Amino acid sequence: MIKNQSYKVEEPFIVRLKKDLKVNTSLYFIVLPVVLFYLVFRYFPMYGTLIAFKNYSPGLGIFGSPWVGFSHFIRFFTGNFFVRVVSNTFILSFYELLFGFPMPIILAILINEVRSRRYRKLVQTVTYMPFFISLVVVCGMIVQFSATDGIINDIIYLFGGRRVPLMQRASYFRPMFIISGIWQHSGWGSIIYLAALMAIDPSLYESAEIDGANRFQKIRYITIPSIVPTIVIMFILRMGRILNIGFEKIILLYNPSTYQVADVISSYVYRVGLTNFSWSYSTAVGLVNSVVNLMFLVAANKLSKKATDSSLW
Amino acid sequence: MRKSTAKLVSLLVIMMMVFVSFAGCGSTEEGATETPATDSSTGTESTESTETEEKDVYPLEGDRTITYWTGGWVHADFPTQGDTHLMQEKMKRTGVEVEFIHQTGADAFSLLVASGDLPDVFGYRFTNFPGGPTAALEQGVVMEMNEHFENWAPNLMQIYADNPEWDKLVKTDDGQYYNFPFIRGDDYLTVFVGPQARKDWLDDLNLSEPETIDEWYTVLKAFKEEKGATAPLTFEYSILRSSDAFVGAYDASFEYFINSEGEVEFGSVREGFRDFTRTLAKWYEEGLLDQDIATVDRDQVAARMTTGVSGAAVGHTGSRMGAWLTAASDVENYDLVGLRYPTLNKGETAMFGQRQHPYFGQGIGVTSKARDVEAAVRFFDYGYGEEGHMLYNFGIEGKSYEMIDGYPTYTDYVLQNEEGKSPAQMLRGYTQSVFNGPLVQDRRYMEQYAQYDQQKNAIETWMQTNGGDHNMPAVTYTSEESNAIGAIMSEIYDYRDEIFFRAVLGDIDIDSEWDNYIRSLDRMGLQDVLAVQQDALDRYNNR
Repeated sequence: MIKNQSYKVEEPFIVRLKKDLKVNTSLYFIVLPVVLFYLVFRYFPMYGTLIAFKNYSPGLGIFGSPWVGFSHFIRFFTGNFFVRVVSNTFILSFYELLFGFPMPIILAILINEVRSRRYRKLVQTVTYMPFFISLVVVCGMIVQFSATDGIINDIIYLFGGRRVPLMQRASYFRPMFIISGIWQHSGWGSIIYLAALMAIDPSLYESAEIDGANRFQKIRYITIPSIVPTIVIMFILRMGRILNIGFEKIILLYNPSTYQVADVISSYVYRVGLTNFSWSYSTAVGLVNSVVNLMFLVAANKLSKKATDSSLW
Repeated sequence: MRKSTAKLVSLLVIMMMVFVSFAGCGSTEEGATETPATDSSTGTESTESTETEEKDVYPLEGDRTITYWTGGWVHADFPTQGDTHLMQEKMKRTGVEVEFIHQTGADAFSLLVASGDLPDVFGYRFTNFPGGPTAALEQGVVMEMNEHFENWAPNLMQIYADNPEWDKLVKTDDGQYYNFPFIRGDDYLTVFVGPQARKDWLDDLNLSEPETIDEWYTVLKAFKEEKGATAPLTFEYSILRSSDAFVGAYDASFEYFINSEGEVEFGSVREGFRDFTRTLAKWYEEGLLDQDIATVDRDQVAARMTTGVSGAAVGHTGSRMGAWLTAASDVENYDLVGLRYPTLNKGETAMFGQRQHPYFGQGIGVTSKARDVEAAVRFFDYGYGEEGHMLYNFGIEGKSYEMIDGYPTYTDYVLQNEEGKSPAQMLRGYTQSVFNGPLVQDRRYMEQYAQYDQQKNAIETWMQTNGGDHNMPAVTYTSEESNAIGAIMSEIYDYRDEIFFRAVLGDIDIDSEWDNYIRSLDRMGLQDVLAVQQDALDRYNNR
């Protein structure tokens, strides 16, 4: 279907587009719904961001509400909890990256090494399962299990430890959050790496075997280097969400005794902004969040382009 | 060539079909919004209707429909509130078809309003709206009802005329009506939360009902040591907070309140709040307070109270005390008793305790987008008339209640259902007296809903506080005021909760933290909040 056409470099974009339209008309039609989708559902709603600079009142509508400039941003930056929520967001995010990001990779490699087909299927099913449990249920389980009469404390008690209300101790919040996150997501996250592992040419392993490489050497010199591009892409994408800690899980897990470590930008926006009807303020804070995310994404992409030659664009 | 054109044509046809179907959706919706609009203009003819004509008004003629947004609705028998016997009957009697929209979540109403896609009417606690009723009126979220009430709500206006103290509560400072209120029709109904303990344990241990904080300590300690309770006292924090149990003994509270000079104060910066926090920290340390106190929810508290893990709690008459008594009916001798709100010295009366104003902001508002205002007003006004009052509070005569010696008595079908359905579940199918509806709640409902004598006694016991003298009424703020203090208030509450819990759990020492706590609250803008609240209260007093 695709008809190649050589263009003169000097021809302006419009002219080239016109020519290409004629040649590949049906392709353009195929892509049209997607473009429309993005315009209607992804770009058009962006005008709503305007309310970050206004005092939004539903009665007046987005355009009718009065402009207030940067006052919502100033309020956030000078607010009582600005430093706390931002640093909590970064710390939690950093830990999640540090501990959460490598887990699916390790899991994928381990699964890849399993020889028994049955056992492998079993492991995969068991590790995917948590991903399909609703977050509300997961958090309910975490809270119940970690209570003083919960199963985790029963185990601690069985081995002679003291019963500790885990979700009420600020020092345990981050570990609980990260570990439960790993439990929830590593299985599902490993799928993409497993796919990358499937694509490795088996002859590489064969020749390594002839050269006398053992299992660890094969992992080190063949498996890992082969999935590095996938890892890098996943890493860049992950960087784009650096500040996107899901508020749902936070608000389901935190309580006043853990606010000091658990309150992140998104939970703050939800609590102070949305449930208080401060739409403009929440939008402003959300916009700050997105801008920072974008900066991280661009920076990570640049870095990886320099270091590994693989990048998103 | 020909092949590709054929493909192109078919593609175009498909896309056209898609667009046409979208367009189809649009046009039907428009049609739906346009037609009933004419109905509201017909309202003029019924302007002169008076009470005597009430019978003739219902059922309304023609095709009258309204959409009705409420918060969450969970019921085993009825998927929506519109399916309940109550609503079915009311729709039949008033001739108004109601379509219910249920959405759950703390942010549901916020998102509804932000979307601008308002229903005809909605149930909400108006004092929670930023800027309160005044802002809701200004923004067109809700419609001013004065004229419509004059025209179409004779029953409600009669009630206001008969009860000027309610009339004062349900208006804005400028005298605007904005909703169909939920009114607690008797003092007896305004108290429904309090401390309670295992009566059988107290008797076993030869302990009298504790009245002071020191006696509570003795009792809790005995529960722990003699009865093996691992969490002698437990409660949901939200209930402690709204009831001011225990903290009231120290002349402090969790809320803003009116002091004896008529000034607004914040109860959590009083010296007593520090003493209260210190006491709870001590109880926690000694294992007298539930170790999971910051996280326990309703189900966990229920489990603890019914299985001997806990011996005392703070909770509601029905959903806690009644439910626990029922759930533990197979436990030998299991018994609960409502206890006085504790004080420091014997014979005193606690400064604070749960007590609600007859009207606390809850009601049904008509939005500015309402298509058939008359239908909406007539539909709800019916609930404030004689028949409607009985329907809302007691349901359908012969089914859910019988008149016995002039007393509307719930039938066994409702209170002792053969299929084992709880009275609460049955009552919600036939009445709306149990929760926030557009009605005047009837005392006779609670007298029967509280099935157990323990519950009836508890209410009498819990009424003995001075909470009523200090409660803030449902004051209204201007938009500027609420813009200024809305976020601050929520930050102050959050910070207070944080310090309170960290101190109780032993993470910090309240005495060394106290000065910093007070300073931080001032820095956050507590004084501004107090000033605004004072203004609002003064305006309220001048209504």
